[in-house]
Amino acid sequence: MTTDAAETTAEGLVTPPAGVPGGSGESGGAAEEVKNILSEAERNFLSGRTGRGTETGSPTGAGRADSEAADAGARADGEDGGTGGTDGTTPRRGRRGHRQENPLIRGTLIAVSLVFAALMLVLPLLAVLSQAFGAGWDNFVRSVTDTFTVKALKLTLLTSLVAVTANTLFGLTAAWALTRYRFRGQGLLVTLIDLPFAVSPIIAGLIFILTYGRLGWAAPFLEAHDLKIVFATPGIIMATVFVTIPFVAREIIPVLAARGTDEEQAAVLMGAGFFRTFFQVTLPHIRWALVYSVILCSARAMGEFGAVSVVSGHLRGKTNTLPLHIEILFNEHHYREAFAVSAILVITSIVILTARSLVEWVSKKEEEPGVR
Amino acid sequence: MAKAKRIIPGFGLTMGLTMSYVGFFVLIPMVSMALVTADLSFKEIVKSATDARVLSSYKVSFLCSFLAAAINTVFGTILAWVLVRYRFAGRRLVDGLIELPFALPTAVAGISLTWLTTNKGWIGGPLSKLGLEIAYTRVGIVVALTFITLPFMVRSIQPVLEQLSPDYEEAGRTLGAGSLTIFRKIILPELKPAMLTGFSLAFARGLGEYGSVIFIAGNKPFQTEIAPLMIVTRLEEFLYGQATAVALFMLAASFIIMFLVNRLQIRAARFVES
Repeated sequence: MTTDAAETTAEGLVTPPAGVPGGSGESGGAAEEVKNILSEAERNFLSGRTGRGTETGSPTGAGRADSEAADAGARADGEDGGTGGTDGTTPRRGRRGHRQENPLIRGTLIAVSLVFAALMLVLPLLAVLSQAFGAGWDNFVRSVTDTFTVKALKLTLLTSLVAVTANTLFGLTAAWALTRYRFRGQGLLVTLIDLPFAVSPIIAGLIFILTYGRLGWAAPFLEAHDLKIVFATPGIIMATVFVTIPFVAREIIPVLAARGTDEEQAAVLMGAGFFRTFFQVTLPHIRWALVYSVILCSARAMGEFGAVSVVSGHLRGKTNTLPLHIEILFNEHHYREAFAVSAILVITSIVILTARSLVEWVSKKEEEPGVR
Repeated sequence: MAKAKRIIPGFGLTMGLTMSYVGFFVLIPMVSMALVTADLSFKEIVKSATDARVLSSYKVSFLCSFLAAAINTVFGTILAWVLVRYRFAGRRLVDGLIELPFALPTAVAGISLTWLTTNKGWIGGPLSKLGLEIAYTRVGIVVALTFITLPFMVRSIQPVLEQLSPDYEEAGRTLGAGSLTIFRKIILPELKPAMLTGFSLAFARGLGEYGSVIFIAGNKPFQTEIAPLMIVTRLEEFLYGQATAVALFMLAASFIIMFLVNRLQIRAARFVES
């Protein structure tokens, strides 16, 4: 991955940025124009980098933070057409007039997309909400405040909190170690960090059972010290940590790799220590990528089912997380309750998606005026 | 970067922490799998991994994942294209929703899709009058996997499309090429690597997916049992060795896919570079 990054960096610089030649004529002075092209080029270059970085390992579709930047250009494009470039500072290529694509094809493709998105994405959400609230608010509240539901919710929150905190700290350290130094086995380390993405959640659960379960090799030690991992909270937390390990690291690594180490070197040469360098030089640049990845990581941690299901033992009120509780309710034909509990998670995921978009939007805005 | 080797402090600290963390959470558990495997004889592994019921679960898993990835190759590409190239009402909403399958817990997706497609659901109801069934059949598994793996496809293609300048298409159009020719000769060659990547990621994820599938599948042996469920079944029977054997097979499959993806990406990078 890291060697890959070098490759793509070089290539990104060579490839002429996609949008530049079409530069809009309506802009002010030539200097403005040049600045525009530069930031555009940088954006395209950045998006190229992350685009590829993302594909390599992160099926989260994450890494969007940067590739969104290019999208921002495109999006502003569309809006400018209507508003006449309200912000005035960044006139964009106004390529809309040139497009001569067959309107029939355009219409059909948009229609197909909308129908597909409605069927696959919107309908499942509506189904949950309608079932959850269909029998009235009181019913919903009753299902949600059920003792076992509350216990499951608490366990889910605890698990997510621990897993996300641990993986955020790990992600930062790992990204630092992998992008600030060169060492043997770098590729292997990246592969290990990526591994949980490639492994089925069921296998993720299985390996913890094989390690800490009654027949696992760590069992004698655990028994001797009266520790319980599998079928108990620690096991659930560990399985969740395993499944979400790549999220933060994967997001930060490409951003740090793309920035290079010049600024850190300068800081260190001027006498800053490790922590000062990190907090004052590095962190400001990865702030948004960090927030973004933490959001995605939390989403996954809260919703993890397969891995947790294997290690939990399904003890109601003890080792049941919310998703597992939903499974039990559903299998016992308590559909209303199952959907009511699901609604909590649906609303959470909508909040998460909104937060994600918001972070992208804010981070884009910050980059916009060609700061660098 | 090479020269920067030791100028920046913190090598020992960050490397130490990273290694211990990866060691504890990834390496040790994976090693136990190897240990359990080492305890089994080759014969046992083959026998457990190729039991008739297990074989049929592979078939279901591979077939359904393949179909779901194929469906997403078509619709995901269209979605990515529409989202990148066109401006229309609701575009941002759709763009935001693409990641829903990542954000939504798989169990919730599972029960929701199941409810929708049973013969009492919004979709399954009308369909059942036509004699079509989705829930508790392999079609249901494909539906669940299509939902789960949709973002992989769209998010693989989107960045490439954003990079792809419409100038070439315009040039083609000016020279008299029809829409189909432009798609085949100009757009498709550029998108192919990303489509393959998206397909493989979707396929690999589909093979391992559990939460969303078990609700809608009905889990009938030899018909709608997926491979991850076989691992769970064996575990519940306390047949750890057999579970491990099946897991090994699935791991091998997903590693081969991941390896192919990496190869594809290296090739794609070269292609763009030249």
